[in-house]
Amino acid sequence: MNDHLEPEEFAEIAATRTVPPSHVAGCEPCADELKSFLALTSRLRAMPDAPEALSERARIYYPRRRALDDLVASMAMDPALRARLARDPAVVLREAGLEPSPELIAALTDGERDDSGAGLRLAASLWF
Amino acid sequence: MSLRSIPEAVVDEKGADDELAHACIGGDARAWDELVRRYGSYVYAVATRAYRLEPQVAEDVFQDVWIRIYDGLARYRGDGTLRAWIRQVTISACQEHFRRSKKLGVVEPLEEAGAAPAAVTDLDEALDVRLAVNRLSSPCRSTIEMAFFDDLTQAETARRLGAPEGTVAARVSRCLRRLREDLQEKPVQPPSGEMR
Repeated sequence: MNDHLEPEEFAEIAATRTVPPSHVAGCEPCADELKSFLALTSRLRAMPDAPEALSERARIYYPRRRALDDLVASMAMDPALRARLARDPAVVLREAGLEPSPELIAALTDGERDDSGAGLRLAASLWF
Repeated sequence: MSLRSIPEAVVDEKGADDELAHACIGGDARAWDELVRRYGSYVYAVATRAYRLEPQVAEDVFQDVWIRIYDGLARYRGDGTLRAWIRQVTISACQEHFRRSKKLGVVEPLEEAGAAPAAVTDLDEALDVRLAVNRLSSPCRSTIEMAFFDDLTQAETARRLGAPEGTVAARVSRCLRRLREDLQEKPVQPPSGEMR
């Protein structure tokens, strides 16, 4: 009589963490097969999902940073835009699709800006 | 380059990652979403499981890593793999946290500057499996995700899928078999510290 288990039976044992039939301990191919499935399920459990709220903030960061980078690039080319931003930063930021936070306004306003862009990155990091 | 042009069943991880990176640089928000989906859990796991950071600290590191990825993508040349670069960015962020907080030595010390602890290697192997799950059929993928990534019980998975528990159990087993077949080209070895 063949007591060997089918692959999906090994998979079920590994998934449910149940005790395997006694045959497995004395059957080297079966033990190896079970070990392979246990390694697989162990890997699956080793990396749960990151918290959804965190992932969502990472997703949202990209379009906002793109909008900010585009705005900064436009400012470099367009003196009129720079003047508008100095006059009414909240309006310009909203037009660019950005929430006019005090940190962002400060980072974009003449006199507050630094060449390295560190201030902008710091302001953008607050979106997280 | 649009993410739409990327085949659903991508076997060539580096090719797919390079395409993702270029799409992100080109302004494709869907590519960025895919990047976060593909590597978000890996980044978080390196922080919480390999470096054992508290959740609040891990959140700060996670945020820092994604900002660095955004800022650094334009300089990514594809010489190595995107995964290796993200790993290094994450390890650097974790190490900087320890340097800043002067708590070096709380976790396993690194053998040399920039080298990843063994736990990160284990997570790389777990990521191989996770990426293989992405290649499964949609019903298999969602079942495996609920059962293992969301850590739902069989009863909870069955409720969420609207299927009898027995059906879900059979599906989990069938999908695990398929997953293993997919990985046969790159066999999964027992993680360190287990099944010796």
